[in-house]
Amino acid sequence: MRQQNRHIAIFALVGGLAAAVIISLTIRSRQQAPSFVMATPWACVGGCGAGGSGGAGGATAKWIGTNVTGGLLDVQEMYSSTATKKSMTNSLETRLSFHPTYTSILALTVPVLAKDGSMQPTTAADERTGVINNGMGDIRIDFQNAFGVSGEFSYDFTLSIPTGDYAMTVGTDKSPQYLPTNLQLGMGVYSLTLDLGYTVDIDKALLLVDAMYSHPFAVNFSGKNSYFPLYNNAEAWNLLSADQKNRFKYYFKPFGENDLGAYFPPSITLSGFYGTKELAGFVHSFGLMFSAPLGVSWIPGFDATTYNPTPDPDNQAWTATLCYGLEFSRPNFPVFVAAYVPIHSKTASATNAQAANPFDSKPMAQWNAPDFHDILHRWSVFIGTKTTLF
Amino acid sequence: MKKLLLFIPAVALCQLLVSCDNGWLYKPTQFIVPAPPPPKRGFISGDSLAKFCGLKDVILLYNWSIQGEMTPTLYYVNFSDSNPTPIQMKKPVGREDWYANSPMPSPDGKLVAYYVFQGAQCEAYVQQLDPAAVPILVASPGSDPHFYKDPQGNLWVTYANITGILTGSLTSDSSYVTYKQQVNAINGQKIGLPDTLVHLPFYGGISKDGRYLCTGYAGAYIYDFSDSSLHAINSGVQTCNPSISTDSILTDRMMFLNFPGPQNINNFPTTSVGEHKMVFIVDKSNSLVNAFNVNTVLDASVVEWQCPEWSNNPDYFAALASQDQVNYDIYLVQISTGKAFRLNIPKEFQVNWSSTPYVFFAGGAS
Repeated sequence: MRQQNRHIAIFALVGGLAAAVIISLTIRSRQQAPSFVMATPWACVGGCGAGGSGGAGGATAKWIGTNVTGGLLDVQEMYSSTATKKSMTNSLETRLSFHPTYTSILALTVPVLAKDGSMQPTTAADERTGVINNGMGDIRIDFQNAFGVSGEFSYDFTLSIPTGDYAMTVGTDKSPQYLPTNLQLGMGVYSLTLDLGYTVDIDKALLLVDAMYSHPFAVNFSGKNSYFPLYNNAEAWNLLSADQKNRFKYYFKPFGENDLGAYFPPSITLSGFYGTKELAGFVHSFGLMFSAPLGVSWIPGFDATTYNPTPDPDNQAWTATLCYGLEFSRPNFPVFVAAYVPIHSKTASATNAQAANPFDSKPMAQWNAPDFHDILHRWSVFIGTKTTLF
Repeated sequence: MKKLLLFIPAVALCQLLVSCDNGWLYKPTQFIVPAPPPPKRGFISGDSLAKFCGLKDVILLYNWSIQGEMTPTLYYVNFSDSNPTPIQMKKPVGREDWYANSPMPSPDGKLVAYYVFQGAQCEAYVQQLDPAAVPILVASPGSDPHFYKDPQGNLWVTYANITGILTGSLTSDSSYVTYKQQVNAINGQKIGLPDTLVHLPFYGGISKDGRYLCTGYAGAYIYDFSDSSLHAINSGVQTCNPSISTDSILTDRMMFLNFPGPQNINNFPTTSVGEHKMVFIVDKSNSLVNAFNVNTVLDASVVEWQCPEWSNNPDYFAALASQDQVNYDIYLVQISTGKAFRLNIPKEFQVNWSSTPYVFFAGGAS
């Protein structure tokens, strides 16, 4: 069977299961709505931290705290700053949400990003510092719903839409170079994320467990790759295999490969958070998130005149993130601050394991011990507010 | 309804399980456009060439790939054939997607030295000039190999252990090295271990008398083995495509392509020069010997030179020139007269900006 058909099968499976869950639970929640009581009315967890598989966006935080109620439209503003050794990303995310039903939330999240970093396509060339890129990132739409006898379960579907520029270049007209993926504003692909959550409500405390699956996919409404119009060169086009041609002419790809050749694999994330409001007026939360991509991400070649994607030598085979959050629980205008510190598997670039063959993705897929040299060189801080309107 | 909801994913799951023979997740693969077949009629006849340079026993070597693809393959054309047709050479196994670059024939034309690179990786090879010949690895890392025949008749290949270094200036002792490796003059096999020539990377080859090396890119230099002196050429101005003189007497000269702006060459005006407008020949005292303006040698419609390379006949060099900076023609330029002759037929065949042509005269100087 051709690989394309296999991917369609995967996508149909995921989509079919998703549809089944949504429809059946929506029917159930409607039936139960009159007697339904939210077990944790002070916990707002879904959507805040969901969405995408990372990629070009900034980090997202899971807001654990009291909810604001009373208006038709909830507004959340979350500012974050994420640092790595080679870049700094500042992000302001605006999240607008409302309750279509008593137990559900439909939200739109619009991130605006400002990035500053450096790039060095080869070690033979000087490092280019002070590379700045800013603008809108990939917007997200999410739908979450609580279910179960006391609303202890929840599901959340998040669709990430590639509105952020993912093909920004620097350099001369003759020799343009793509910015590295972490300095781009978007992924260039859609991503559908399913987050299943379970909440244990303890006296003045809450334990939250989540399992998340993200599946990027590509949609091209024009049917043509506009960055590399290889189909215009009949000589080259006729030499390509059918699979190669699919990179340049397609409407839908059930996997996350954008027009530059960057590939974002599906990923799974497991997380556990403990929140407590023992101290009046505050909610402390502690958490651990563990995520792993189901494959190796690929990055475009730096040379923007050539289609030459390679496995990402900075691919992190696994990442564990330590999370701390503190909400100042004001009834109409809570404030949330958080700090996240990721710890990740040592990458191929850290060990120079890809040097022998940069197209061999096996060293990038390797699960290694933590990269202790990178701990605390990566961190994110967040500050957010929310209120309700109308 | 519930049955239908379960049926859809069940069917999809079955289809997925059936297709699991090759992994269930998409795995990207390297994108390589196959090497294009050479054109049947892409070059002028040997008789036409003979009218220009007096010889038709001439071989042109170059690399080529489809426009936009950076995985060129080496080709050669023998103008003594009745219908000069490019012949494709084999690439090293496992390096089909690497960039094959800068073919340099041996003094007798039987062997070709070249290098392949991908990113910062580079490997130098020697290969018999035959479509069936297998590449022989000379050095890894190895860049910009050139042949050198010593007074005893031994054949060597010089190469640098790093490719494309763009640091601004060379110092007297770097971690990058230029080596020479002896090879068998018949089959190209390595003989013994490489010798260190100098602790600096040189890309422009070694002179016939073995006294000088030259290099270019961020900074151009001529190195004199007689007193281990390093002579800066066009100091402070980037240069491209360095090649050492192939003359057996006037060996202290190098050729290069200019970068835009004022040049820093003795006896040359300090006015600004457009990018790739000039091919210079300069001696080790940084004095101008020759300058070839592309708009004078060719015509005003031509935008730039590319990839000049001194031929084994010291009165000629090969270079590319283009009107649109997309499609390039291959020229043979006579140094003494400043006249140029196009070797390809543009309607049939043109090359890329980095096709690194080399014109080899089987008889040496005419």
